[in-house]
Amino acid sequence: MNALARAVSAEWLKLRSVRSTWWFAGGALLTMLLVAVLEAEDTAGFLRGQGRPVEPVSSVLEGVEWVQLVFGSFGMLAVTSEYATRGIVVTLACTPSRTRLLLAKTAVVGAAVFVAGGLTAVLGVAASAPLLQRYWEFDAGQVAGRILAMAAYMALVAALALGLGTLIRRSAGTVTVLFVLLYVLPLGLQGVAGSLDVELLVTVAGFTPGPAGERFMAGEPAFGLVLTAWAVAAVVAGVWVMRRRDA
Amino acid sequence: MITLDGLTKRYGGKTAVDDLTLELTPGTVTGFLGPNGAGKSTAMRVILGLDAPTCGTALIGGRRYADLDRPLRTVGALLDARAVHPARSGRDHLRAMALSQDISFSRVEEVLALTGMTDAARRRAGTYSLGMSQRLGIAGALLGDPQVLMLDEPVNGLDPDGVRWIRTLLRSLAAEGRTVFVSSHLMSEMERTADRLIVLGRGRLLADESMERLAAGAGVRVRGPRLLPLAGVLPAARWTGPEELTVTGHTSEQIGRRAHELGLVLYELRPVESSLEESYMRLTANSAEYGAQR
Ligand SMILES: Nc1ncnc2c1ncn2[C@@H]1O[C@H](COP(=O)(O)OP(=O)(O)OP(=O)(O)O)[C@@H](O)[C@H]1O
Ligand SMILES: [Mg+2]
Repeated sequence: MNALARAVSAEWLKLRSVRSTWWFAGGALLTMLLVAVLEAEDTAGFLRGQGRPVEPVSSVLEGVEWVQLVFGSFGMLAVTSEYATRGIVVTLACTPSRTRLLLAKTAVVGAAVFVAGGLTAVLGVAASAPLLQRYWEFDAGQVAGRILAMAAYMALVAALALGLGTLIRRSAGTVTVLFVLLYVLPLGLQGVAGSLDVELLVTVAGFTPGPAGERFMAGEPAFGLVLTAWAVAAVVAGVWVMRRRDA
Repeated sequence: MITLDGLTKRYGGKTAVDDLTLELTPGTVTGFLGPNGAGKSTAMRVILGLDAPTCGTALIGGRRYADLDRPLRTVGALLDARAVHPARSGRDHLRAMALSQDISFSRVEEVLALTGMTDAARRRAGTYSLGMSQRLGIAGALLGDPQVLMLDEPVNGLDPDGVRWIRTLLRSLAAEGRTVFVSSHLMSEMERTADRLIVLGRGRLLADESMERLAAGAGVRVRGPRLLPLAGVLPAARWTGPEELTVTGHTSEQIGRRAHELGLVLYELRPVESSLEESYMRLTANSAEYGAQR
């Protein structure tokens, strides 16, 4: 096995051998079902009068807004828990290449969140079905595409959080920065744009991870590239800093 | 096998390791001594590539640690026994290490048995006592069957049985031709385990000697009625009593012969074994940073 494959298999075992991983998966699923059902009920009530069709994934899109923080924290913990427990000492003794280590961690976290996120979305759609089915125009291909986009979005948010966690090393700080980046930054930019009347800032706000993700999941693949750029930038910055920093 | 050349590590303004040059040879247990904060752990961290040296190099068989392909198969290290995820079982901890080095899971069971951790292996590491964590750490160090072992205070927290086990383990590893580098504050234990001692004080090398020489550093006790002429020809002689000299740097044979040449009567001629602890105290008298007020 080559060095990267070895690091990947080690990181995968590390991830699945702690209980918190499964708590995150369960937490993400619960959050998704709760939000999706509530949202579906809302939408159903609203549509009852109008009879307009609705996309099957509409309620799940709302769920992703919440679940992304769960998966983000999960991605972050892959690194910050190592610093908190000092396990990073053993990890780096096993895999001295910081680049290889973070690539392995990103691959494992990304793949795990892609699968778990995709499953969560599927189950969210299923849970919304009893409430919304009557208003659906179900196009299997389109629904599958949307779910894949959501899974990719959540995996990219997790990778972004992993990169931030590497830069910051502490969980509390990383969660704060992630929250600001996903929710506060776009609102702040739009607010400033409104009060100063600067159109450019609205455009900029649209390229922050949250809004870019919404457009990506709404069916604009180009915004997937914007998101990927954010995740890659965070992980590359993490590698760069880690290579220059004492463990 | 391990070569340090002018190794220096500064943290901000604090010099933790100061221009350290030494070579660790296979087949010996090298003890690493020094007061708290002397820089022992720092030197080991730099050897493992965890911290980057400010200047100088640390090489293992001529290569930097980071350039080793499957490093645990060359160097096994235990730096901090508590540096384990508390929610992961001891067995999974070792298995993850094994996967990263292409080591079979059966080897994991071997080192678990060797360290007496088989029964505890399925429990979460957070529930381990200090001694059990230490054993798990040692299991991790042995995992890759490495030529070089580097252990930072491995007997810390071990029961008397464990201490003796470590002693025989390290001796047998060295006897197999491996390089063993071990730090400790337990002088009596070091005296029984190490062949060679490296003493550090405030980051600097204070001594690098064989155990015999360091422990024999106190000299030879000479007692007789008229020793003045002998004191005259042996500059390293000190009066330690009215009729007693203590001579360093000469063997009792040399001193006896010299006394004979001078026609002196001797009542006693005896090498005084100082304990390692005494030699250590003398060496580090001026370099303990965090000593209690005396
Ligand atoms: N990451 C760090 N940042 C700043 N200073 C550090 C760091 N690591 C170590 N030091 C300092 O470097 C010096 C050497 O520390 P080190 O841990 O190597 O000593 P030691 O010989 O292992 O001591 P002990 O016997 O107590 O384990 C100490 O003064 C310590 O405070
Ligand atoms: Mg130390």
